[in-house]
Amino acid sequence: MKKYRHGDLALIGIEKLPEVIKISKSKVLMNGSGGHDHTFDHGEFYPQQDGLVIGYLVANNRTRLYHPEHGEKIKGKELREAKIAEGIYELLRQIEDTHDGMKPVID
Amino acid sequence: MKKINNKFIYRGDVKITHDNAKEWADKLKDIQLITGDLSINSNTSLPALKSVGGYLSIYSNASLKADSLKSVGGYLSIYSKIDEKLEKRLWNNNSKNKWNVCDLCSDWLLNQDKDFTYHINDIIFDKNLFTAVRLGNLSAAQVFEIKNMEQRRVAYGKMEKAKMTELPNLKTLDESKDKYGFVQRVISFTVEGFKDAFLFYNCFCPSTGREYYLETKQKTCEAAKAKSFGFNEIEFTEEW
Repeated sequence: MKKYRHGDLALIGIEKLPEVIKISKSKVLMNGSGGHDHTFDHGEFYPQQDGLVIGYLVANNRTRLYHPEHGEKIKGKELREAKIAEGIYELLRQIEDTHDGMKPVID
Repeated sequence: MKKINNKFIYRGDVKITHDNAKEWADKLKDIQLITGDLSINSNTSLPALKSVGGYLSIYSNASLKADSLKSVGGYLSIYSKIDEKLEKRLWNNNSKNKWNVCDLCSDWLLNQDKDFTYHINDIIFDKNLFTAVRLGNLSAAQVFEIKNMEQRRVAYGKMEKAKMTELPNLKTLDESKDKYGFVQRVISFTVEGFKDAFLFYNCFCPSTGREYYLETKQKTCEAAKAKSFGFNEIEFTEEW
């Protein structure tokens, strides 16, 4: 199973999607500050908040991740691009273990 | 404003980059009005330009020479150090517009006490934190107290690194290289009033090389990275 880190977002390969989840039309996997969102193209996004989990992504061989700072620079494009392997991924947001408890990374 | 002859009007948006700067300079040398947005990403001279109908954005490391430019219809976003005369002229004619300013803007502009949106290295700050970071007024402990990780990164980047020695009982608990060749560390220091030491995982983004500090309870780099995603250990196939 593949495991990717896209800045403060991890994509962890899993065998199958959980039951009772709904596909989203959104291309935004996770919001970042100042418009620095983690987005994707080609694939299916199933949002579901549960602790660190923010949802699931079903990737095909054309799926690409996009972000202003994370990925390969593409000439003439503002967003960087990252290619991931075909598969089903659980999406986890990064946290900080602070003196005040576990907190999602704020950016 | 006097009516401008059609031949001196450019209709549409203009985005000037390193690759097209010369082409645009030739095309716009007599243009007095750009009806759309003007985005400056490379040094540019627009001697005849008087007015921009849309947004004006000047990005870092780009300079704009536009001695006739007065009026802007939309937001003004000044992310570069520009000529103070231009800055004052733009302010005097467009003070009611929304402004995005940065740490490279002049003291004069930043002292206009307007409801600006403040940026340092593309990251938004509130006015107080912006001012403290810009003027180098934060102690190392205050930098590590910043809750927003990107603001903390920028504030750390701007901080005199000698200030790190002010952190009480500063220690490096673990240090290694990640698989992209960047140094990663776990540091600890104490803060008065707290029984436990503060630990931070210091790492670099493999895409941009930007340096981050994330608070952790783990004493090793690998554990700190894994735990930040809820695992005891993890080996990523690829990281960006």
